[in-house]
Amino acid sequence: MNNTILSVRGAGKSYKSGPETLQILKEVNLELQAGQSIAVMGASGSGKSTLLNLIGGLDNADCGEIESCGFQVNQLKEKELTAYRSKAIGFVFQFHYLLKDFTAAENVMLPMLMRGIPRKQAKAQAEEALEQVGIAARSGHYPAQLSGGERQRAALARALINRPKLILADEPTGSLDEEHRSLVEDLIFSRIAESGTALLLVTHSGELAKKADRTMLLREGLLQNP
Amino acid sequence: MSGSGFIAWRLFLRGHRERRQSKPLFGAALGIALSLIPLIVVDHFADAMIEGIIARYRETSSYHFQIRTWEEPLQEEWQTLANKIAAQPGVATAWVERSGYALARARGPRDGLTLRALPENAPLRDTEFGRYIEFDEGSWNLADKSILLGREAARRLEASVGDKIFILTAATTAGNITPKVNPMTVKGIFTTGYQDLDRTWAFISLDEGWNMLAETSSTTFVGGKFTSLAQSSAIWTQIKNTLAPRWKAYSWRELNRYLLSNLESTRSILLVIMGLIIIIAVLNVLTSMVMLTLEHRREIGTLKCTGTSPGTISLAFTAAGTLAALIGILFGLAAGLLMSYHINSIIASIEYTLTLINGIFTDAPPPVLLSEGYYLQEVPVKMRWLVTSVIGIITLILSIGAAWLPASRAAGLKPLEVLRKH
Ligand SMILES: Nc1ncnc2c1ncn2[C@@H]1O[C@H](COP(=O)(O)OP(=O)(O)OP(=O)(O)O)[C@@H](O)[C@H]1O
Ligand SMILES: [Mg+2]
Repeated sequence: MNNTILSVRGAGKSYKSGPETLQILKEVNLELQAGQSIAVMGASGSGKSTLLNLIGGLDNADCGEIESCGFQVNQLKEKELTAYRSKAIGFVFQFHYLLKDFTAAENVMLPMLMRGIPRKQAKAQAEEALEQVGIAARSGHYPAQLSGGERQRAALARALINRPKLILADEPTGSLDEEHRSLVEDLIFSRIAESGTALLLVTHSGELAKKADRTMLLREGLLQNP
Repeated sequence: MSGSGFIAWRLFLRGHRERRQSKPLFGAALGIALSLIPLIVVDHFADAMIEGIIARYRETSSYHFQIRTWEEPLQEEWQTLANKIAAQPGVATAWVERSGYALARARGPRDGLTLRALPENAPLRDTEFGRYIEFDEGSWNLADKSILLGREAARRLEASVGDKIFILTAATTAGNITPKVNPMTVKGIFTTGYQDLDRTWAFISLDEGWNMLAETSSTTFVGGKFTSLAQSSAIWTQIKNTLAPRWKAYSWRELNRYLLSNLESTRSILLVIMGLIIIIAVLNVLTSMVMLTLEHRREIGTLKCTGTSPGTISLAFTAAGTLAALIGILFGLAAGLLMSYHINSIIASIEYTLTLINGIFTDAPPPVLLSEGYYLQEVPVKMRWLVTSVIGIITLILSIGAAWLPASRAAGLKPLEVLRKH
């Protein structure tokens, strides 16, 4: 049975910087099974975020194929991209990117509203999701009223709310202090385990990488086993 | 598109207010309200003025219609015609008027007058005519060589009620034109409320008119009024059809053609100015929306990452901008209508305040805002619901466009462009 959620084959990406062309990703190959987690490590500037952006459809690969959750990510039109981001994947960034005019609960329920789920139901599910990340008491607070760890937990709840098959996390705990970091990290892994979601995690922390099923290293534009 | 209403509402209300956060939508709403208020007031004011001026011309000067001729009918023939017209259904009054120029002398310098010879009971027969003739001094009385002077004419002649006044007219005796001096008594000084109209007027009785004014230096006509001007077109056709060919019939529109076209061009100039005001208000919406979308670039990127379609995003922003515009429009229209409704008391209180200030600082005569030399003394404002709604709807449609433009641009934003900068 083929359980592959994500398959990246020969993906390459270069950026023009003045007269020079920077080949950030040369030929990246990657497979991720349903429910599996892979941590990607690598030096700063090695292209980890770039890879995640290609998979999330935030940027286009120059070459290669990216198939994620049944979508040919590199060829998606705006409309399919919206569907892909809405149903198949969830993002967690280093910075929380919560909407400042919306409460924590509203931030979490927005992706559901976008799929046409009724307000009441979305609200109930958002409250539940906040409960699962341990900030149910904060559901009526605005992002500015939350601590860094709480914001990141709300962002995690938001990424998971539509039950995506794949979570793309780019240094999700990079902006947190020691204490909150391990708390949020544990939450990420417990949440994805519970929901059977696959995880592609970019991190600088070996500690965090160890919690993933596999660790890979991005170096000189290639994704290798460490 | 689900959820855009929710986002729009929040963008509009700005859930969590930070002190330094700007409020572009509030600015847009305020801008629209502040431009619509003067627009509505000016529109009502100008329209009332124009209507007031037209009504005065129609009711006191041109009549609803006139019957004239190039021939020289006898007094009895004129009277017969007037009686015949007056008897027509739908006609309220019709009488003979004879008018001509004359020189007058009272205590002051000699001055020209337009003598209007009317039936002695004119204001009784035509109450609309009577309504617009207001007396500063004396009252309507044309018996026994009486004359009524317009306010401005009386001022120039330095005449007041009870004075003897000498009217110099041209008489035709045996084919020769000879001057004729007619002594008369001033019985009243009146105004129509619009000085441009009655600057040289003087009323005398129709009998005196036949007596004093020679055929060659005067005009005679039958002036008539309909019972209802609005439903007069069939009656008017009927009157024209039954007239003998010697008579020529003119409607008040034909008689006041120059006045109407002048007022019409004034109205068009106002319309252009109003259009410009609306455009400025709408540009204000545009810049506010650009501000709003710029401030929310990161949010837009985030929304896209969480699977919000560009359509939803542009709809949300457009709706927020439209909501602001709508509030501004409703507020502006309501305030404008309210001020228009009370325009006479507003002007009166401004005049009162100016008079007070003036009295404290100078001995000069107090300023008069609605000087009758140019304007009506009291503006009969009617609520113009249709025009007001049209202004509101046009502003709304333009605002939706002005909100949609930056919104749809913002919705096309690539999430990476904004998220990367963090
Ligand atoms: N739009 C772009 N234009 C030009 N250069 C870019 C662009 N995006 C990324 N780069 C370059 O590509 C390289 C890889 O960037 P990327 O953000 O993927 O690195 P990273 O591995 O995530 O680093 P870090 O660990 O510091 O986050 C960097 O040198 C960056 O400057
Ligand atoms: Mg990075």
